[in-house]
Amino acid sequence: MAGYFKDIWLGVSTVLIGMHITFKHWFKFKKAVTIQYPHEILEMNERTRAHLFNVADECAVCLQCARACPVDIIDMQGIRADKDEDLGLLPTGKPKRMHLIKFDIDFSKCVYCGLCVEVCDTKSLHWRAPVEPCTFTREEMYKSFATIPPDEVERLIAFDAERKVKKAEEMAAKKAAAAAAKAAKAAKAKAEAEAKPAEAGADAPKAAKSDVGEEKKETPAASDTPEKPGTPDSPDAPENTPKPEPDKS
Amino acid sequence: MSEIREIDIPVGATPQKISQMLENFEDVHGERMVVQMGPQHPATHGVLRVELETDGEMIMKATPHIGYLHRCFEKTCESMTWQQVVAYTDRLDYCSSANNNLGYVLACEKMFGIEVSERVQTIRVLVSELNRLASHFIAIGTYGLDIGAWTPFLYLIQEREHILDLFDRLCGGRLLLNYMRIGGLTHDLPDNWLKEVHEYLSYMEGKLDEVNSLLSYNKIFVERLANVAIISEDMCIKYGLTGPNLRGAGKKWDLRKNEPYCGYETYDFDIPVGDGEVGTIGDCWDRYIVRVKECEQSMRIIKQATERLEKMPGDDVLAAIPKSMTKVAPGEIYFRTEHPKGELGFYIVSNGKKFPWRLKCRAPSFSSLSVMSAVSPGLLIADMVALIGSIDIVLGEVDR
Amino acid sequence: MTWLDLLIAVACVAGVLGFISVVALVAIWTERKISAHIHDRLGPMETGGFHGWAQTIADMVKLLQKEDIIPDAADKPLFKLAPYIVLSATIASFVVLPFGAHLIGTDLNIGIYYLVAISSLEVAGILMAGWASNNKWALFGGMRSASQMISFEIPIGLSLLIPIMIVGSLSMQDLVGAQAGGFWNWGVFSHLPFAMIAFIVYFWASLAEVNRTPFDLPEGESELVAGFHVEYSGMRFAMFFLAEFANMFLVAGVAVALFLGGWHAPFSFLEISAESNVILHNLVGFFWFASKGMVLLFIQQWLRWTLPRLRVDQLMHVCWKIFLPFSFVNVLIVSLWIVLTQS
Repeated sequence: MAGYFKDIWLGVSTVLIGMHITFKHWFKFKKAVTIQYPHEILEMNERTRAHLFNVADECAVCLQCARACPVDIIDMQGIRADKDEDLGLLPTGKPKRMHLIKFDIDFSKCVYCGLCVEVCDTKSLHWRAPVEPCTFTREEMYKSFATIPPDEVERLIAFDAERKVKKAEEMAAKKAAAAAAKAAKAAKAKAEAEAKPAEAGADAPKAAKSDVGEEKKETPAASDTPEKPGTPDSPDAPENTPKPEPDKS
Repeated sequence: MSEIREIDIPVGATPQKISQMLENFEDVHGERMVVQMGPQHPATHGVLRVELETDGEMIMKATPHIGYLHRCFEKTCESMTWQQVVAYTDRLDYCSSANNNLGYVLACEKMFGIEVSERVQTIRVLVSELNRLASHFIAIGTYGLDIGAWTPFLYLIQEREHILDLFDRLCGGRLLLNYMRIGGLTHDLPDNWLKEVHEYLSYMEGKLDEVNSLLSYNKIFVERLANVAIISEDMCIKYGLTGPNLRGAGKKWDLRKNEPYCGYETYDFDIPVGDGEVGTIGDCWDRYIVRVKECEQSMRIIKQATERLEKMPGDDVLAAIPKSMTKVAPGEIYFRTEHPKGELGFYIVSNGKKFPWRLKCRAPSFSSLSVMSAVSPGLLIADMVALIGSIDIVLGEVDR
Repeated sequence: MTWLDLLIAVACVAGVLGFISVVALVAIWTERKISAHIHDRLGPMETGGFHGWAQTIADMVKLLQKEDIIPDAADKPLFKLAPYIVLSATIASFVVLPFGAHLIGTDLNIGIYYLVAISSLEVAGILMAGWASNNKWALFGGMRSASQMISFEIPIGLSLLIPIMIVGSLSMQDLVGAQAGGFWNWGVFSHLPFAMIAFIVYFWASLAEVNRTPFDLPEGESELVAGFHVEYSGMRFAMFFLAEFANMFLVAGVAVALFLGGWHAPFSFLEISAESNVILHNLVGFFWFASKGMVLLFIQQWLRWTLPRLRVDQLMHVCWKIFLPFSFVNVLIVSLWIVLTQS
């Protein structure tokens, strides 16, 4: 019997205690913990991973970000600038050597892990405040950050192809000349060894132009490029990492 | 068929015994009904489907069906570089991503023989304890929600929000931190961050008492949970339940004390265990209250870690990150850490290449879920909800 | 029956219907606001300008526009009928609720008896909804609701017996009239503390009657998803919703009429006597009745946002082992008291 009344007493008292607490929240209500979204918008923290943005003029087109991405959503393409063309300086102080003709991010697949931003040496790829990332169609989730107009891109591609043909011709001529000069049987092996880097050099712009996925597979094949193949392994020490700049060759 | 019988189930009876007792009533009750609880049921904490065979409202058999959230975590990791895997571990138990990161990163560091500085270790402890707090807040709050109390959930979400804001300042992520790297961290602490943690701790004083008096010791809540779904220590060990579930059964086992890592042995904290305060040891309420008490202990650890970091001279948190991980030492390792849900283990095999050759994750929620079909016979549907909430499963981790 | 009678009848029905809708809309809005403020939030703020007052109206309009989905395997006639039964039982109960000295549908001489009887009809509707949905969760909800509402009728009936015994009438206006002249004359303060206990028992049991937390098992969103109305959508769902909130006011109104002085003001100087102005007298009476009802409504909502939910067996325990003995002993003592003091 005592237990019965004790239970009732416990029930009543704990209910009253609970009501007291909710009552305090109810009437000591000063400021809501929520914000009225469209009227107030929270400021983004410095490091918030909100929305990716790439500044084309500052991008070195090093493809590090595309390789870092675990879900392969960065589709980028660059064309090496002509020797005497001046594209300005990168934030790192080095001259910009590549035209960024394509930089598409498929935000519908982005996992917001931030690996791409971490590896970006020039800090051209960075986070910005979200600008309403919702869209009506899936196509709108593709965002392009390349600023070169389409006709200019066509011109660059044509120029690149022309240059490639020219280079190939030059190479062929050089090769032929070299072969002719060192026709001797003993020197033949040496000539072949020389031809190899030349070939690799001719491949590099083509590789940069190709799709990222292909790029990934192709890069290790270029034996003399200084970059480390595959994905970034030292995301946080880019200064110490040899930069994989395709324009080096 | 809506008849509810009162059956005197002796305290500490095994599920088999209860099933036997219930068998006697079958002739009276007629045929059983199969109810699908889930995958879109609010109490299953995600996409879990439980096939309930019920007699009226009494459960005779419960079979959990999992896999709705399966996304090939282990297989995917085999084609991810060592550092990229960290982003994937975030998504195991999305309520406590820092602890997942920690488990993976420590396993890799041990395998490759990478030493990190004491400061990095302390920051890791601090962040993972903060995340443990956030995870337990979710566990406690949603448990209240399962039992029907809305308000404590929103209060705890409010407290958790401050932690998430701290994380946002720290590494840019709120839920999925992706903060740790093999050999270090992605960012150093921002300015004034430690001060904010201190402010948060002083803000939190008394908040847990409020939750206790609003929810934990509420008579209705206690009645709903006391003596319900008792999981004894033996059963916990048999089914592989760890963490708060095991401690709720009265076993003093915490990897932070028993197999210290990350310098946990230098921190001063206690291991709360269930003591059957309102019912039997190992009932739902014990498992619940262990989590509440663990929050207090986590706050103690956070306080100590913050004080240490304030005294420590700054160093480069990126210093020990290997420059290249295309070639690593081959080897294999199993390393376990104390995750908010239990014991999180990573078994990793490296063949010296840039991808893990095999990565196996021992997820605590998965083991916890396995006990469900053993304890559920004899429970009511409402108790089933209490059971699922009390073992605190996260389906992201169960399905992986 | 003359055309005037007909007109008055239509006006009564329109008035009751309008009042129910307004009460439900206001109650839903206050529920949202109260829950929001208890949670340190603001709740709806946009629709209609001031603190989102038009949010529930907008929701009603939305529900009206929605497709009326009837599951293929449902028992269609019953499925369609159920919300009407629930709503009409609720509306029918409002007929005898005394909003003012003359603001009453009809002052039956068995008013309270009629009310208790007719509001029990609701169970049939809910059970029908649970059964006809052909959904196991809905069936659980309907069954729980039936067992709970039928069980809680008993403590409710026994605690309503106390003011009836004290006043000696079943007519609502008689019951209200006996409590005139200041709050110390209210039913809840007579025969202290027994009428008080009866009031508390009635209030808690009525929570079970209207399926509110901590007795919201028929709906229990974390267990039964939405209970008996899980398959309903659009206007039919809105009817259940309307009935629930109207019912909340109904049980509050009964408590006010029997225990809290009905349409009488707490102090007699706050009333306007019927001799001076009949219309004002009624309006002030209505004001007091509605505001007392609203206060009880607030308490119901406050409880909802504070407490967890009971389990089925505990609900029955509370009913049969706590409320029933208390109200039974109460009735015995009060009847003994009345017999002793009157003789």
